[in-house]
Amino acid sequence: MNGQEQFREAEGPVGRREYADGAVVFVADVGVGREASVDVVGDTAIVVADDEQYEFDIGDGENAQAFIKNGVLTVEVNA
Amino acid sequence: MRLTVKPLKQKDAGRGLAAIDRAAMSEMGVENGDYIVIEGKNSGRAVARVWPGYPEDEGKGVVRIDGQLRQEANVGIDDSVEVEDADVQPATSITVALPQNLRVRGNVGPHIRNKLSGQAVTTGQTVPFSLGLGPLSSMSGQKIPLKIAETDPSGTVVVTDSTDIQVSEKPAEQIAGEAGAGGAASQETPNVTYEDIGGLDEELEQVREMIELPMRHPELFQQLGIEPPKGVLLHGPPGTGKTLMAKAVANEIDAYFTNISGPEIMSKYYGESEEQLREVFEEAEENSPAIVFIDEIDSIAPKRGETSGDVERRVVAQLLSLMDGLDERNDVVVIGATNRVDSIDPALRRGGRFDREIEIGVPDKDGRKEILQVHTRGMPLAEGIDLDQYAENTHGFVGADLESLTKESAMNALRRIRPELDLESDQIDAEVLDRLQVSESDFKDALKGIEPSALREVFVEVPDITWEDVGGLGDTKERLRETIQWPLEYPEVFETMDMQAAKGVLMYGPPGTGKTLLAKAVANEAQSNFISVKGPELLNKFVGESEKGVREIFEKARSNAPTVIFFDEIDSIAGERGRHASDSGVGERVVSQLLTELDGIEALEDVVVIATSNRPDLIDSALLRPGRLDRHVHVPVPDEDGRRKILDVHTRNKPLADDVDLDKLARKTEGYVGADIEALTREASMAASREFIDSVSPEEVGESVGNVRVTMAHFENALDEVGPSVDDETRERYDEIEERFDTAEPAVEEDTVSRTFQ
Repeated sequence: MNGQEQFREAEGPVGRREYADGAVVFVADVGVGREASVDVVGDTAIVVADDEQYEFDIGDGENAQAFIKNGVLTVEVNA
Repeated sequence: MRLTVKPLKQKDAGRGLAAIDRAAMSEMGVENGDYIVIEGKNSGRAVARVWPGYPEDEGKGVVRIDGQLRQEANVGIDDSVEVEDADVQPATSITVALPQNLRVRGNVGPHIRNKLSGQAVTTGQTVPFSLGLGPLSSMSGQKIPLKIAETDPSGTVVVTDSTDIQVSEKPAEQIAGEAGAGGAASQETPNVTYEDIGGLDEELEQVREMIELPMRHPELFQQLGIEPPKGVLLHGPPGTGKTLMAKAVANEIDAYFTNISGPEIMSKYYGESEEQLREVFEEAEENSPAIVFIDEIDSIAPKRGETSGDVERRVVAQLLSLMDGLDERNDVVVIGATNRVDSIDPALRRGGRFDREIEIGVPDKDGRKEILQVHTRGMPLAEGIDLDQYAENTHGFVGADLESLTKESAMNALRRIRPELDLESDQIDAEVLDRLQVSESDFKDALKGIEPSALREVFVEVPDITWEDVGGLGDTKERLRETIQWPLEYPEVFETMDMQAAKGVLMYGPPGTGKTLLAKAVANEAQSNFISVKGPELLNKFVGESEKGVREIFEKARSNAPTVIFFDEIDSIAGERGRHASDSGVGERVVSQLLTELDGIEALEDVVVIATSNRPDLIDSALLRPGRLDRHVHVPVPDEDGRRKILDVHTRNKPLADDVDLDKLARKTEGYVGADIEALTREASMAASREFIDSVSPEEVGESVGNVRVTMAHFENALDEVGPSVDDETRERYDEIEERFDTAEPAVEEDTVSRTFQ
């Protein structure tokens, strides 16, 4: 399975989880070994994987932490 | 730290992810994407990437992994495992071995790297690998076992895009002997795991509770002072996953599994069949904990009163005593599967034998999506395929139908690249393999060819007619749309207003006014399954069979909802009761059956009945009251405006001369119904063709056919030939009928009625 498929197949393509403590976490599996980076600009997260770009809204950009590790993209927004 | 294993959600399976809840994650000091080692029983080890836990698991100490990882770690669901941070190196190079029987030419290295990218591997491990083509793969369940022969650096490494992939000269089978380092990991790929079952979460939970719990923790039942269950009966329509579920349970709990296929144990010798049955149970007992799975149990345990054969009766009796004699046979559970639960001997269905009956139903939309996800998991899908959309469009499809849908789509994709394949050669070019993708149109084509299996007997292909093809009849269309499309499209409105959707619509009007056409358009636009019933075909010479036909239709409609049932010419089967003395009352019983089905104790959900008739005055009045066919729609003889629109529809694709004045034609065709107007246009074009073919030599026909036009003169001639089929008398009669229905149904606002009914 290549990275692109994984990216797309992940729920829609970025999964959103809301936890009881108010934290909202966005996750996606970009695929290991791809050169991917994530940036938060305002309330939007921008993911660049190889030459593809993907953006999504994260609601509250100020309290967001974003990182990619071994292909797992995480954006955590703390309430 | 120790965590409890749970199954991963279907959509995340197959990617080496382990969902860990956040509390456990921070305790271990790992974050999303880190590699972890999961240590299970018997030195089983699996490496996975951390995936954030599902919110519902928070604080429960749960790790969710898929079947592949569970197999590697040698653990089952609800076992506890040791999870810790892993030190994993990126691989500089790995050597893989392919199975001997796989013939692929060219450099498969990049392809393998693509697929393995991100996975953590150890020497000696077998990685299921889907190639996307060939007899061995293409379906999600069938994967090539790829063996890791060597890694650099050694130990557990992760494949990255810069890893150098070597294909070993030795086939995987030979390496198996020497590389014992991987230990327990070098097992076969798992057969069926819980992740391979989509849309049956609740049912699966019930089965596990009945079977897995007593086997793993019999002390729980001792504590409660109850006997563990002895059997579970799974029943439901064919293809919904009964056998699959039994297989998955057996696979996951690692119990001895033995299978009785009904007809197999039958023998011609006296006593032999029972003997075989006893043997199976004895064998199971010796190997307990064990599961005895009886597929198609109705074939060996039919109702004793109804079978003619002596053997069947004795087999049933044997089965009864074996199951109830299980007291001493601890840890043997019987799973029976059948799609005809009512034909099983009632003595088997009591507690102590089959303690619980679990219905495996036709999946709903979410279930269908999960099933599609399972089946497309190993499939290279083109971009932009929206499984949600397919899940929505496949009412009434069971798991097996969805599987054949994905299989057909993949076959379509295969068909596309087949010209490039050289079937003569032994090997397939790896580049071609890489290009193989299942596209949107492959799916669409496959969808056309597959009809839901539960509906096979009665299913009618949904006609290709839209509202556009219906000329005029604006108000009638609107009312049909309200009645049929709205409840399906805006259920929330109906809920808020506390409204029940109408159960049925009766369309009446003179012949040829477009009643059947309207029904076809509804079927197409309503996005429902469509069952068409031609009234007279329900009648059968045997007593009770005609009513049974009605019952069956409604049963099918219920299990495949949303459904539109269409009765054409309903007056033929639903005539006024108490009139016909001659037909031994069949007609009356059919009517009664219809009445109870439409407004009976079992509610009809998402099933709408559309009926048409030329003679609504002959229909039994009980059928027409509110709650049954409560909407009466008069499909009138079209007025001038309507006729103009019908002419538009029928002349849309005809080459008309400039002098054709459709308005004038509409004015002249007083009393013509839709069918007459269609005949008129056909006659006119026929006259034009006749003139053309007579005047041109056969060789030139092809060249000059583009110049033919249908002129006003042709229409004038056709007007003489085709007369109106409705005279004033008929129209008066329908007006009377309409008035009668109108007073019977005062709820309809006056102005709508007058406009609709002209």
